Amino acid sequence: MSKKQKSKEDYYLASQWTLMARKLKRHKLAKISLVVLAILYLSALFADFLAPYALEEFDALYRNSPTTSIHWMHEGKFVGPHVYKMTKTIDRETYEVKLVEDTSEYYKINFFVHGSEYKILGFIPCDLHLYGVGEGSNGGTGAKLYLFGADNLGRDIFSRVMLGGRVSLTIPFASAIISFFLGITIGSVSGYFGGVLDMIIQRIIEVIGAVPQIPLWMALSAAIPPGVSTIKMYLYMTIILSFINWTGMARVVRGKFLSLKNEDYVMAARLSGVSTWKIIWKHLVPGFMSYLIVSLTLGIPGSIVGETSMSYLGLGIKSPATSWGVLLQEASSVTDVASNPHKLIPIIFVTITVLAFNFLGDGLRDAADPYK
Amino acid sequence: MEENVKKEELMQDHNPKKPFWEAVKDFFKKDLVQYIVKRVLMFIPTLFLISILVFFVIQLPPGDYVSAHIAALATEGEYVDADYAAELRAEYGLDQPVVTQYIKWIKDIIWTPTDSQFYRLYGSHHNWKYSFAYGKNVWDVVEERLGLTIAVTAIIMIFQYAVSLPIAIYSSTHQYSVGDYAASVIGFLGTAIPNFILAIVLMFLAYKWTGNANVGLFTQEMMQNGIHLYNFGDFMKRMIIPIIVIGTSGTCGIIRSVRAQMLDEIGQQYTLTARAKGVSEGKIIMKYCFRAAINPTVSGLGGILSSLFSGSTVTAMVLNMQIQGPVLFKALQSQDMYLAGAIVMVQAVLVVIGILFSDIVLAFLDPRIRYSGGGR
Amino acid sequence: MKKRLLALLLAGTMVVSLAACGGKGNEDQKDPSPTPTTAAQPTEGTKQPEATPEPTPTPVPVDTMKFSGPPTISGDVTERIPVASDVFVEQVSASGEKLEIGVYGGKLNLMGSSSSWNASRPILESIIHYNTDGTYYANVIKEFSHSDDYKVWTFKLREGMKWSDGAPFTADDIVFWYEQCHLTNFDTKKSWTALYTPDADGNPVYATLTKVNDYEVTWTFASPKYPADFIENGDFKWCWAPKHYLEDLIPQSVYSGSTLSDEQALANAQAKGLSYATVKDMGKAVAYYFWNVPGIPTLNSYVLSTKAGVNDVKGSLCIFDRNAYFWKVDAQGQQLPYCDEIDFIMTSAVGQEQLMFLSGELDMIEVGMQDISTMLTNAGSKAYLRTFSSTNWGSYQVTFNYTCKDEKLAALFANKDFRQAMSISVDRTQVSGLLSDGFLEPGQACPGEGNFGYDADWETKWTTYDVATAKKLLEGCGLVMGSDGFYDFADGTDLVINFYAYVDSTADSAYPVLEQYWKAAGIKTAYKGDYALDAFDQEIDNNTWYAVIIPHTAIGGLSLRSRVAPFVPIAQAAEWYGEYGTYYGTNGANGVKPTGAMADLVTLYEQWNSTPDTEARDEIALKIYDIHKENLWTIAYLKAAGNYNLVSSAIHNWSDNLVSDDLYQYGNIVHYWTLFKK
Repeated sequence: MSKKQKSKEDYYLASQWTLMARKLKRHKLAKISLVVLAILYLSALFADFLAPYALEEFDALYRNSPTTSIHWMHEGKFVGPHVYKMTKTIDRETYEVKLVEDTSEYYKINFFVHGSEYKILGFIPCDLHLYGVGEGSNGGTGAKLYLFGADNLGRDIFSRVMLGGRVSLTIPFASAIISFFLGITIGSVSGYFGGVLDMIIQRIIEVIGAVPQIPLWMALSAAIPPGVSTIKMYLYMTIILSFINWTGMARVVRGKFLSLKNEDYVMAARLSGVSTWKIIWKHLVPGFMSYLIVSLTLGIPGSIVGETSMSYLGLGIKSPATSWGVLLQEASSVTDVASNPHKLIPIIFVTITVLAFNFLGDGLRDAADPYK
Repeated sequence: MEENVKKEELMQDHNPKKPFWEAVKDFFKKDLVQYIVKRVLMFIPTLFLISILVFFVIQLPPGDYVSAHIAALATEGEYVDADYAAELRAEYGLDQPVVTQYIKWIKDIIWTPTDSQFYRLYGSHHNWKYSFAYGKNVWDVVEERLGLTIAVTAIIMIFQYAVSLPIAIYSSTHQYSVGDYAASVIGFLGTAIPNFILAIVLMFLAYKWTGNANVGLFTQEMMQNGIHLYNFGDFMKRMIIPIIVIGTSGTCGIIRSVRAQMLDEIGQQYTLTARAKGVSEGKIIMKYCFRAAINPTVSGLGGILSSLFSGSTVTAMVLNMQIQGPVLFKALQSQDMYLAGAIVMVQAVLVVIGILFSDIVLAFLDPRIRYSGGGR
Repeated sequence: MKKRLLALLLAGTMVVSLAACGGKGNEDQKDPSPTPTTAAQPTEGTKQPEATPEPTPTPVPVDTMKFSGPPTISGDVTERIPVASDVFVEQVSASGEKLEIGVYGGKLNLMGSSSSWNASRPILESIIHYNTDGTYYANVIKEFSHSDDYKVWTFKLREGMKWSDGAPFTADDIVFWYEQCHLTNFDTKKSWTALYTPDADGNPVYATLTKVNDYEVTWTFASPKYPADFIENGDFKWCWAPKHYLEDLIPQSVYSGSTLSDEQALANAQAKGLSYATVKDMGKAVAYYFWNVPGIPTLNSYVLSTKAGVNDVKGSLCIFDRNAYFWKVDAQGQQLPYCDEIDFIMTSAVGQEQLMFLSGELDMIEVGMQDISTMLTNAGSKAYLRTFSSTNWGSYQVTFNYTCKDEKLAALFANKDFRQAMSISVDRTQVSGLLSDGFLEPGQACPGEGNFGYDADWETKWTTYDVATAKKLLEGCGLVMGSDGFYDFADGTDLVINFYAYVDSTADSAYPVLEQYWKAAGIKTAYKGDYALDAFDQEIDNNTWYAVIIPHTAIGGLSLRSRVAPFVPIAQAAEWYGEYGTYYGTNGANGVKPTGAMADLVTLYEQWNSTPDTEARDEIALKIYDIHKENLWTIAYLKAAGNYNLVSSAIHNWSDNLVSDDLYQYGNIVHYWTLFKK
């Protein structure tokens, strides 16, 4: 068998998913996006290890400190990567705060250091961190390495971005999945059965879609009781977001069902006694998977941005729990934009994630396109 | 054959003896008309459901206007006696069951009788009730910003289509080219950066560059004298940031759905056939593909309208735009429920009208929809 | 008379003036008494108007003064202001600084707000005005005096004074306000205590108001009415309403002397361009928040415009025009105010006002401490900073619900040792650095240095960081350390303290910091921030809350005179006394009857209220303070922050060393009618 023939045979015998994977490779941005997303999700998974500081490690000295500079040379001699501790002066007339490096003593950056305790994957106790700052050359303590600078309580923004990513990357994903299934189920019921049921569901979709989201958010988050744990809060948020978002998916599904349900192959399946649910899931849904994937991948970034808006309005997760939305909300003052631009670094993460999801979605759509 | 059909049509249309009601009946037999009538009738239960949802949603948070009001007074150092709250609640009917309140609310909106005090004072049959916070009739508050809200939304919507359709067409016809990627990144960037932070940053940069704060849609002078030809330029300058922030946040959705649909159509048999027949590529794109791709665009109209109303609220707050969103947010916070209810109702109705409009346009474009009862 | 008035003004304010300005520009004044305080307890004492002050030379004798008005208004200015002997001459600011003679024109651009009181701060003219040292003088009325037994109070008015529409302001307007607006509860404020005395059963007996002549009225009370609850009562800001304008808005259902039906009254209002759903809404608007209603004549320096589109105080732009009939002049006899209008510009989010200030669209803004440096750097020479000193008892206050439904928690909160533990378990030095970069020093909930009742012991009480002692104290409260590292109740149930905080409060950044310290001491806490005002009020109503960071009714303040609720559990809806206040607020119908120290506060307050002598009253006040010092129902972690204002360099006469307090009506103490732009 020639090579060409072999590849042709492979092509014809390949499953739909293999084909999709193969075609996905052609969308370069989608490929890059997939890698970026993988890195982001992995770093969220190992956030505790990557983040040198815990969420509640405050430092009065480093309040609003800009990015810590890493030095290699100390007093003209090479001593390896190190940082200096800051000293703070305040001016009671103008309320100006000045942070200056104290170069009398250097603090080496160490890798794989022991620090605050955490649990890997939620159950393996560990205190290892990728990097950290050791003791000073004269035995001093208290120097910090803040890659992205510090927030208004002297917390490490890099650590908060890492730890906050866990919330910001998972909530939208989970809520997109929930609304995906809600949407497919309700949409397919509506489209397949039609009639009065369809009429009622259509009205409900129309109503939920028509009422502006802000009152819904406010009403639903007002219903969250005080003092709930962070994990429960995530859960509530996920549910709130999915309750609002399923209608778009349901509408797409229903529309597709209407056009597909009278196709010959569906008729054939029905005549040969295949159950309704099996027809829906085996015969109909795969027929328009590409649309669903577009909707799904568009839903995730929508929710990521939605979560930041909710935080801005004070409806979402609250500090000390952290999400990207919380970080951005904390940086949304004129003073921060003007004097502490380092606080805007989390925007980069939000933007990259949203772009990556969009391109991945595009790539998947192209890949699922049966005509190419 | 074609001629025959034409003749039949002509004969029918020129039948002079047909009585008027027969003509009307015939007219309603036409499937498009039937569909439209059906759709418009559907509008009524939708409105009814919306009004119920709206009323209960604004009632959901704990507390009512009276408690909010008393708390607000307390921050200003004023204390009220114990029965004041109860008196106020009785006066506004807040002590009644929610269902009773709802029925009274919706009844007065639909029709306030001529012999009511409200009609005698204001000469209107539609009593939207009283805004506690503004001390005015709700409709006066709603009306104040309604025109501007619609105008701003329309401008932004036009901008969205103007930017996203060319990008979508370009990137679907140049799939996987550098241009495709670049255009997409630009188109998606607006969605990817959260609106409120983009607005703040742009506002600050605008101040740094021009020395003007660009807060709000109007200058102080415009607020006094209104917008005229001589200051229209200034107004448009102040629209730049809102357009960029709100407009670009929606382009991504349009680009994606149009691009996806276009790519589907480009692969379809009839496109291949047309291409095989030697029809020019530009014509294929515009005549076949784009026309088909316009479907999801049109059907998304309602959704886009809705997301503009919601999405603009946060931006409008950050930029101090004098549109309804911030008023709604404040009303919800202070539990000024009739005002909140009215604004949500109005926006919802506008969205439903948008959906209705898009359904009718779709039915007009695609006859299959008329039979199946809906296109989306 | 005029000399007396001027003398009063100067005598009452020179103390601070000299302290602040080093005596420059005040050569012609007598030596001040050496009291270096900026915000002392208000005193009636010798500086009170009806007492005879020492004669002080005035720069320009009023009867030889040449009066002139702003060029934008035509006509003779003497026709518009009171007669020369009764006109009010503004020469010094509330802190005693000598005012510059201004120039006419321009407008003041200020921040709008949906708060009903916002516009009142710059413009409202009240019965009396305070200086920053707590002395006060007659303002709208020309003078007030009382009989020896404090049963009869006499108010004299300024002859020739006019409403902003040109109608004369006379005793009839006071009678109209009292009989038709206030006693009828048309203004919904019959709850003011200033105008009645209680009879033997505690029922109110209202004063009888008698018109002596067009420019004099007397209030006659059944039993003695002391200054604290009358002229000094913070609620009692005005006692007049424009009879000629409001008379046809009062229906029979409100005032039996009227012949109008409710609907006719509402229709009459509509004819004036005012639409209200109910008579009650109308009454509150036109007779209480009158400065916010277009068309209603006032005595204020600026009057709401009647031009549609810019006369809604909750609108995007709201304009107040100069009152052409304003009754104050500067030292050269120029009619005040100087500026043509005040424009209130509404913003919708924090930060907008900062950009608008930088670009020159606003002339004054309030800023947070953290924004000052950035703003000053960006504004350069275009702005200056003015700090109002604060009368608050510390910042970052934390208080508990002593009457909460959970009996175990209530008992714990009631234990002083628990509060001490909550206080000393926090490292205030670190908190100061974290929350204020060290600008606010560690402190306790107590009067600030320089204020009445300051006590250095109190300031440092329970402020030494000591986790070991805190743990011992908690164990002394009957708590047991659980396996999770947090204290439990003796019966093994978890102890979790739920903290609430209001929308926009700084508690969002304070809680994470405080939490870590409490956690280290073994106290488990939870937090719900951004609590909408109304929702929290509902919780207070239902008594379903436990603890709050940065309460709305913070404990303490300048004096019992400005507001009682921060000192004594006398009304509803303040956090620190919970249901105890409800008990008094509802005359014992609801709430929890206080015992012990809480009850003592009320007893002392009643004594305070019925003591005419200032010194005796201050002694009682100090006893109340001692109870607070002893119990510390509210803990504070840092000293009070000031109020920071950035003012455009174009604005003149914005005095330094002002004090922000409710008694002084906050920003009102700036005396906006003396500001001018150059």
